Amino acid sequence: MSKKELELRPGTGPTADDQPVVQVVRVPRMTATWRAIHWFQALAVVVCFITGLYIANPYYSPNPTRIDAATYFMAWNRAIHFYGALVLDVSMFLIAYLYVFSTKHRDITDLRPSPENLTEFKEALLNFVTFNRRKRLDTSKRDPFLAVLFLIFHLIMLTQLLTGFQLYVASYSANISAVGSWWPWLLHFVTDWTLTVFGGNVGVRETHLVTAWIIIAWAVFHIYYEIWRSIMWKEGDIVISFGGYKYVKRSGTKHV
Amino acid sequence: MEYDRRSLFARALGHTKELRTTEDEALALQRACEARLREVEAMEPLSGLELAPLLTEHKLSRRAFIAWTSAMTAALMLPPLLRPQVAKAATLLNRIPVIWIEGQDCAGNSEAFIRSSGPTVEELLFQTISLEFHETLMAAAGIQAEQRKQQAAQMYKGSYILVIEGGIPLGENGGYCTIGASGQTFVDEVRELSGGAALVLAAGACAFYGGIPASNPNPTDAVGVSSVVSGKPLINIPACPMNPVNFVGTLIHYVLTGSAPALDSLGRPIWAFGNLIHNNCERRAHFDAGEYVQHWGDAGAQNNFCLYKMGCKGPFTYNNCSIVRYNEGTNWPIGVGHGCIGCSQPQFWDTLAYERPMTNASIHAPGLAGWGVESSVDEFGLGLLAVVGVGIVAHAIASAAAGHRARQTEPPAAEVGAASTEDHQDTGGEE
Ligand code: HEM
Ligand code: SF4
Ligand code: SF4
Repeated sequence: MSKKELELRPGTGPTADDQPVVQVVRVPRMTATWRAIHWFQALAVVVCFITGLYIANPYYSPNPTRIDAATYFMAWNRAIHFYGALVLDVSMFLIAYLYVFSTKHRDITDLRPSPENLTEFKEALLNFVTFNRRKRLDTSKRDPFLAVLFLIFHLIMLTQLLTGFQLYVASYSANISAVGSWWPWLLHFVTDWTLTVFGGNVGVRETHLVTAWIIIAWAVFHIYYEIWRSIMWKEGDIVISFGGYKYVKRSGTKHV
Repeated sequence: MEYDRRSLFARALGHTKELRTTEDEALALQRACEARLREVEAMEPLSGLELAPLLTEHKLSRRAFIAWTSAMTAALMLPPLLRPQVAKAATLLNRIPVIWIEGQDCAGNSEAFIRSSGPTVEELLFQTISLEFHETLMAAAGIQAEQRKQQAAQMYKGSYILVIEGGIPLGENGGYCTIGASGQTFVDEVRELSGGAALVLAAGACAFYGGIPASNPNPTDAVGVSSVVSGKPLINIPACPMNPVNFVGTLIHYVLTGSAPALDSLGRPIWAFGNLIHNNCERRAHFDAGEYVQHWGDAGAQNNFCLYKMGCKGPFTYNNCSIVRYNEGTNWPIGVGHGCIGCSQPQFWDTLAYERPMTNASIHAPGLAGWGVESSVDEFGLGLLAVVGVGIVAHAIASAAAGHRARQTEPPAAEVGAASTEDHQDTGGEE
């Protein structure tokens, strides 16, 4: 989107002929990259959750009187869980990169505790808890409140990723892997601390399970919040994740 | 930490990345072991018992012994080339003085050796070991026994292997467990005897992390050896009971190399505890196929289906009983139709020993352990979702009400539009 689109009045200065108008402008909010990440992650989280629950406690089985291993339900669930996890892992790397190096919008800029950011954070929070009665923020921008919500999500995801990798490396026999011993070594190196922090492999598994529920709870809240914003602010927040833009009413003047 | 599966090689030859041993490496290892065996052979046989006559006496054929040494060589993850050295090491076990003490235990680890149907090679080896002190097995009692212990500790200072069986209570200054006529606390005995030991072996689950005595609420404040002994090479050989193969194997490894085998992060020999039960379980194909025993005695149980839904903790448990089994390889828990209860893992009694999958267990949510929040993970999860759901509904209703009121009183959007259009330009664009 070009700068021009944002401009309400491409003319020169105001003149006597100018008339007040309300116009809807498109504000770019999510790049194609972020939208792709968003939907890949949403899909992968749902897939991981469904298959993860099966791994935790298999809730369907072939007929026990028919001995036939052709179904391989658990093997498929585990494989699909790991593919989903792979998508999440890769997307998390991308996100980590974009947090810091994105040329357009860096989350770390929103997360800096500068006075303006703190005020905006407070105002967005107050807006939500006063049920939109107090609204002293520019709703067209990506506000620090949203940035913090996503930071929380990314930290939860990181926990899931690290505990998941620890569970994964635990399933290697004597740390032999098809791609070489460096891979289990690397996984151990990066995730063994989770054993200490969460209390052994049992604690890591419990954490992975509990975190799975926390992720789903976060997602439910996230969906609600986006719908709430769309309804209360009337700026089409919900379509940001599809088209990348939100639609903001601007009052300006029009040269007639 | 050492992650090489061939524990012995990692020690003797340094870390190698290749998983398969080359012939040169095997030969070099063989030479190193032979040198060490010559040293041990020069030492005085202490127990006065030799393995060869014992084998003949108990009608264990040479063939049976060779079969045993082959199995042990494989269990220790050594190349087959080293079988003669393993056999030799077995005959030299009588050179190693062993002091075996027991605290909060059931003597199950000692029993595991001596209660087999016929004398096994392990049991005979256990006889040839120079067992200088073992309360349950020795004839002496009371003050005599204690003197024997003191003597042995003096005589073999710095060279004996100290085997500790049982948990160590720390509560009441260790007063929950006192040993012998003098009433010495077990924790003091452990400290004293480990001081003069060349190597400390923690035998069984209780010596590992406190085991059953340490299970919730752990009234005696029991701990494992690693919480008491420091500054000594310590090898944990957990399980309930410890598998005699793993004990004898560790001793043979010591005789062969003069050092402890490579250990995992919990101090267990990798050669014995490097694999999940689950990965070598005979029911694993049923696990992958989604074929589970759903109730005791159902069609699945009759067909030896996987015991995961009956609470098998094989996927969490590192041990080799799925390979070496118990009682001379006769069978093992999963083989007879009960799931693994994770007896070789820390705190297994509280965290693993129940007959349902972990997600259905009433366990503490992580981090909340002390607060008494106890629910199964799924209940916790559904509860969390319910809380979020209720919050959302309440918030939505309140928002609707607030919007309604706002429409009735003031003109809407009075405060919107405070920001200038320029602000938006930093938010967009492609990457
Ligand atoms: C981020 C990358 C992830 C990795 C590497 C990962 C990996 C794993 C692994 C290795 C297991 C154990 C499987 C087994 O032992 O056979 C597992 C289980 C599970 N995962 Fe994930 N996972 C990830 C993400 C997720 C996500 C996003 C969710 C759900 C939102 C999830 C939910 C679960 C559940 C519920 C289980 C079963 C827990 C249990 O063992 O009882 N995982 N995961
Ligand atoms: S019975 Fe236990 S160890 Fe064996 S495959 Fe099933 S879950 Fe794994
Ligand atoms: S199957 Fe599990 S509980 Fe049973 S002896 Fe082996 S490690 Fe212990």
